[in-house]
This record gives sequence, structure tokens and C-alpha cells, in this order.
Amino acid sequence: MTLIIELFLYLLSLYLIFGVAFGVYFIIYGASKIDPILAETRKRVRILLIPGIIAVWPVFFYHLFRNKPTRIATLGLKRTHLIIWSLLIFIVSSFIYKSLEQTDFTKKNNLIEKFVKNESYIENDLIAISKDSNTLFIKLKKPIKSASSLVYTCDVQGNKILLLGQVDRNKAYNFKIEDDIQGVLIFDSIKTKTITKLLFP
Amino acid sequence: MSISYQMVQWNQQKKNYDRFILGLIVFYLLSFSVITLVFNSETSLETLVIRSFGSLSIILLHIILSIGPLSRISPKFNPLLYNRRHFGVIMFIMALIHGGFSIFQFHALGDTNPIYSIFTSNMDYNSVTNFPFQVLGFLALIILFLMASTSHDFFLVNLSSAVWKRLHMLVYLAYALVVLHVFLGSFQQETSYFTIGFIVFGFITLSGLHIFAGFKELKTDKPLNLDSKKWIYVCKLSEIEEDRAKICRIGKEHIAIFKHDGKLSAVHNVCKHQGGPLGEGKIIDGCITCPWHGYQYIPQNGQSPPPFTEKLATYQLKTEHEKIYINPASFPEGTEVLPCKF
Repeated sequence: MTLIIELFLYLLSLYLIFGVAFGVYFIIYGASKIDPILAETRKRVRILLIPGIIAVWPVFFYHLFRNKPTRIATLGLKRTHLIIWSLLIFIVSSFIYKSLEQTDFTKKNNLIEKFVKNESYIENDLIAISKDSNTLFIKLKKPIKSASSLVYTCDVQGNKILLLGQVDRNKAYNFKIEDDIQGVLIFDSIKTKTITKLLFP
Repeated sequence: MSISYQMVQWNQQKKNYDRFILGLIVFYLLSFSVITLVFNSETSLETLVIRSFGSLSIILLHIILSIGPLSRISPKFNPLLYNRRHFGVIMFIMALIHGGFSIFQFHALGDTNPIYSIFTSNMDYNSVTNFPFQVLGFLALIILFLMASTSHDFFLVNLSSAVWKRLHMLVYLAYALVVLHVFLGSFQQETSYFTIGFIVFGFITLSGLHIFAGFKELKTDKPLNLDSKKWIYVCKLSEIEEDRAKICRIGKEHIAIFKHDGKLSAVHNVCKHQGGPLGEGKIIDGCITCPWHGYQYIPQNGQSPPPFTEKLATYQLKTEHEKIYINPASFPEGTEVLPCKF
């Protein structure tokens, strides 16, 4: 997959580089060759056209050597709309259905149930935390209103020790832990401030 | 209509149209910001911008895509078509702000190329539920860029209206990508049932409108029976209102028959500008006026008034006992045909 992505981005970059080069040629020489009306038009209009020239440069590159197409009547487009929308309904609905089908709605609830039954349990109005010998469970009671909420283990003074991961708006998380921990601290790394801190008794 | 290109082709109506859209946008952004800050005062500026502009561009895209079918269902909505291109460009700018801030916030602060990061930060391409939704948004943004950047009349002239129109039908692909981007994003990020409900409702409404308009046209769009005759019966004279037209179909061609000042004239129904249905327009100042963008043609020869150069094919008509007949053989574009008097 990585190879396909890299190939796609490489071709996209090449397309844009050629487009920019052709855009420069268009501003300086090509504009009035492509369309004589542009010779009578203000120069700044050409600048406005540059993004479009970059977007569809192969068509105009081709026009330089061949005559531009004569205008032809637009036929059957209304029926094309109908066909496209019939296809869209089928494809988008199938995608939505498949994504719902593959979603495990029960997963998070099981997780919550598991840690509520655990004995080592602390909570405040934002989060509830429990632990067993190798797992730390965190349940968010409400979404954390922060762009970056990192979970650290902390010592009894509340100093950060080990980064466990990140929480956001999902309700329940579990993190692997190797040693017994004294407490948990959730830290906003963008605002560089502690969101909440809980210490086990 | 213009014989040289301008930066933006504005007239008073278009300016009013654009002012109205911009007013709505400012109102929406302010309302969104106030409501968000009241209920979630911790929201960062970047998040506020990403969400407000993202939701705004989706709403605008739905409005833009509903204008076409609405105007095909009822001509009352034709004024909305008049400046739809400006509407589209504004929507792209809103989507670009959303995309730009998202790329900056989520992908530009590391040591990986931000565009590469969009495609590789989530590699769950085999899953439908966890499919990387940001990739879908990025691809939609590329298509919207292609359309916004080629929206100037220069491209319409040089790509030809048929190619330009087909190119701009890529908006449907962009729309499908946007729907899936929002749907999966809502699921993967926070399971926002409001957002999911909104996008599903929007999709059902929009596809319903398009399907309804399509089937309505299929019913009325039946070809006339040729039977190898020179003159084909079209309709009764009383079926056409003054300064309006009746659209008939011969084979694959649509023809608009206009009634004006006690005369009848027939021209090819497709406007040379963007393929608008001329027969849904009316006669203004003695000229057939396209309902989409106001391009004009002289009824008896199908030519745009000087200095413009657009020309339509014309047709011969006759009346007998209050009935209109047409000769299906078209004349070359711009040919003068004596109007049929009644």
C-alpha cells in the first residue's frame, strides 16, 4: 500500500510541477496563442487563470498543437444526472451499511464493565480509573475539551513519569502497565497544562 | 455576456447574490463560534476554525447541489442558478480553509511531509469502518480545486461547454467522498450521532431530489413521432404562453418553439454558454433569454445580438387550424428563418 501511495503522490507532484511550468509559459507567451481574446484582456486576468491552467494543463498543452474543439451541443446530460445519482445512492448506501455492520458497538461497554468490577478504583468528576497487575483502565465521564490529552503515570508528588498514550472523546481506554503505579495525570501538551490528576490511595 | 474576459463577471444582480451568500456565511460562522464557546469554552481556535468551516462547506455543498434539481422541478428556482458558479467557488474556499487548518493541525507539526502523512497516518485501508477518512477529504478537495479553478468563462470557451460541463459533474464524485469523509470521521473521532444523522439526512434529501427531477423529466421528455413526414405535429397554439416556449424532442435533439408578438420561432434548445435549457427561459427585449445565465439570442435567426457571436440552429414552423407543425430538418446555426405568423 505504501508503494501505491508513494507512486500516487509522486505522479501528483510531477503533474503539478509541469502544470506550474506551463502556467509560467501561459502568462508570458502562451495565453494569446491559446485564446486570441486574451490578447485584448487585462493581464491580471491571466494570473487569475493560473490555478485552472495548472489543474488542466494537458488540455491546453494539446491545444497549442491542435485546434481547440468547436463547441458542441450538450446532449443527454440530464439523463446522465439520473444515472450518476442512482449509482451514488447504491455505492454510498452500501459503504455506510458495511461500515455500520463492521462496527462493534458492544466493545466499549465490555471494557467499562470490566474495570468497574476492579478493586483498585479512583475517580473524580472527569474520569474514573482502575488498575490490575498489568492494565490500567480509564473511563471518561465526559469528553475532555482539549486538542491533545496525553496520559502519564505519575508519582505521589504528581510528577510525570511515563507516557502511556492519549485519550480524547471515546469513553473507555486500557493501557498496558509493567509496574504498579501511584497515580495518573492527563496533560494538554499544546496548552502545556495539567487537565486532571488522580492518585491511588 | 462579454466579448473580453474580466476578473469576475459581476453585475448588480450577481453582486446582490454574492452579498447575500457572504452575509449568510458570516452569520453562520459567528453563530457557530458563539454556540461552541458557550457550551465548550476550552475549544482551541484551530479546532473552532476546522469545525466551523468544515460544517459550513458541507451545508453550502448541499445547497449548491440542490439548486439544479430544484430548478428542473420548478422554474421558480431558476434565479438561484444564475450565480451558482460564484457559490461553488465560495464553497471551495471554505473547504480549503477547513482542509488547510486540518492538515496544519494534524499533519504539519511532525517530521513527515504533511501530504504524505495524510495518506500514511492511518493505514487501515482494508477496513471499511476504520478507513482513513482524511484521505477521502483530501481527494474531494483536489476535485473541488479542479472545479473552482476552471470556473472562469475562459475555460468554458476553451474546453467547450460539453467538456466543461462533464468535467464539473465530478462534483458528484467529490460529494460522495465528502459524505464518506464526514460519516467515517464522525464515527472514528467521537461517534457524533448528530453529524452522522445530518449527513445521512442530507444525502437522502439530495438524492431524492435528483431522482425525482430525473424521473419527472423522463415522463415529459418523449420524442415526437417522425413517421418520415416533413411536418411533425407538436402542440396546439394555445399550449404556449406569450413570450414563452414549448420544448419538443426530435430524436436526440431538443427544440424550443417560442411564441412572441403573434409569431412563432424555433431554435435548438441548448444554450451555447453552459448548455442551459433555452425553452425554459422567456423572450426579454425581443430576445430569447437563457434562464441560467441570461445569454440572449434573436428568435428568427438564433444569433446572439452583435457584438456577440454565438449561434443556434433554427427550424421551420407552420400552423394549421390552431395547430403547430415543425420541419425536423434543422438549418445551419444562425440561419434566418421567417417567423411563422398566426
